[in-house]
Amino acid sequence: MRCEQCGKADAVVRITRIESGAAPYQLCLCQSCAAKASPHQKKLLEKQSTYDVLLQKLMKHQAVGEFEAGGSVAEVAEEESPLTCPSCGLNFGDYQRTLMLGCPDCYESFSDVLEKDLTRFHRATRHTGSEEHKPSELANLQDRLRDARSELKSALEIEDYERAAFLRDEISNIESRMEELRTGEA
Amino acid sequence: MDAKLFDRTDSWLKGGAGDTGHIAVSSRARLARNLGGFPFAPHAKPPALENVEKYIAEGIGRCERLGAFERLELAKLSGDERAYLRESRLISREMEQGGEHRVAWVSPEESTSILVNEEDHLRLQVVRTGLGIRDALEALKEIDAALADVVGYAWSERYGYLTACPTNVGTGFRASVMLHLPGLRQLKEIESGLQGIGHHGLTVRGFYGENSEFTGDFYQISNEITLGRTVDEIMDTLMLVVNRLVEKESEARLELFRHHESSVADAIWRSYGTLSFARRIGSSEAMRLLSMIRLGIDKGWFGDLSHAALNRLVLEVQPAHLERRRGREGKFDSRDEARAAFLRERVQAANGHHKDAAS
Repeated sequence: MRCEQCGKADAVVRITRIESGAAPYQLCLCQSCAAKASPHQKKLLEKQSTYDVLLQKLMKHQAVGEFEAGGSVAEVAEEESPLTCPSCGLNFGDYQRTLMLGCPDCYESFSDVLEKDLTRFHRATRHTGSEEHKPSELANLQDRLRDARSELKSALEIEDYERAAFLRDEISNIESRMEELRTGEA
Repeated sequence: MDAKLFDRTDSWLKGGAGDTGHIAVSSRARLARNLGGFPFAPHAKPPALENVEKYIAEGIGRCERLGAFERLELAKLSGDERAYLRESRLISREMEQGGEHRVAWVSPEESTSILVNEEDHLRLQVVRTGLGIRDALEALKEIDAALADVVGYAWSERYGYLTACPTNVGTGFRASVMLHLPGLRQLKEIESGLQGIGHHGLTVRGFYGENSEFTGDFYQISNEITLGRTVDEIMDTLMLVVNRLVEKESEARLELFRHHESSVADAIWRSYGTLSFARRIGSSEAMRLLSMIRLGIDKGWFGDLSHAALNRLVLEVQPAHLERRRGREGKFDSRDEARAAFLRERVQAANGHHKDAAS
């Protein structure tokens, strides 16, 4: 149905008006007429658009990947094969052509399909060894970044925008620290 | 580049090769490592490679154990210089291609090198004479631990050390031993001798590595499997197979001299004759002839020539080594002439006992 105020846009909100000396009545309005009619609706609309922008930014961010500055492989993940490493943007097809992975995270990103190759090469899919391993600060950051990104995704799914905003800042802090370490400007 | 480096190279050839030195020529151990938080080298763009190189150089700078290593930028070396380093086994065939932000760090005694931005961010390798593979591995572990402290490796609980190509993942370890097997080859037992090697997760390559022929009866045995086995298990399997081959080759040589002495001796002395008098020798012919001489050393026919000295000769007749000698002496029109002259000098000088052979 059309907006009862402007008659142009689709109505998306039903508001009930209660005015003194008159019976309450309902109006079906479009988003912008609703914002004019009610301060509460106005606030909601503003918030909505902020989250839209945030959401878009975050989605794009994830797709382009953190290795963009250092030279990444793929640009956007969505339209291509769903098998794309979120960290470096490498498509699984690129790996199959070259047998070279894009980044350490590719092992997790492609684990299901990669393990077929591992079986073929090594007759095994798991490392066995007693090597002590000391992760660097960079490797630690890498892990934190991966965790923060996956938590952000869940936060957005359950619409916990406050947590999402916090995580967004966290991600950007981790990224700038990684950049410092990589370029030796620490 | 530092001319002194060339004069010092190949010192890994020195030293006794032990009681298997007549069969085991050399050993090499290498580890593939990558930095966490950087894209792997094959898909990385130059700025990322530059960052990796800087990060590693900075780490090595902070590392006392690696303080004496010399840094060589591959892009600044000539093709001949890179080929020379490859022949000396300090860099890989892949690194010989050169390329931006590729660096080799070479230890003062030139038996250890750290290659940066090859297929992996880091390839650490140690070369030893004879069957010195365990010794090479110990030296390698030390370098690995020193580097792990300053740079930090890409690692996962599930897959171990993460490498650009999944064929190296897990331990990132490759051990290889070069064997000289003229006895098995001449008795036509080489195929049965090498049969089943793949079953152990091992593979055989020629003198020049991947896809090369078995020039001069040199065979490189190395592990292919790097995941799901510990470094020690990989070593044990390799040593089991290598020791069995050494044993079989010893038996083959005994049989060869017992039943075919006159034809083998004829072939060896003809090789000696060619090396002593020929005026032009190509590199694969030189390898074939030297292989026969190497077999004669067992019989004590070339008194002054040791297996180690012969190993050095094999290296010195390789094109880039020879080219460098030719450039220095400046008197030969072609490389094959220079090779023949060099071999005449060395082989004639080494021969003190050839009369004994006739008796």
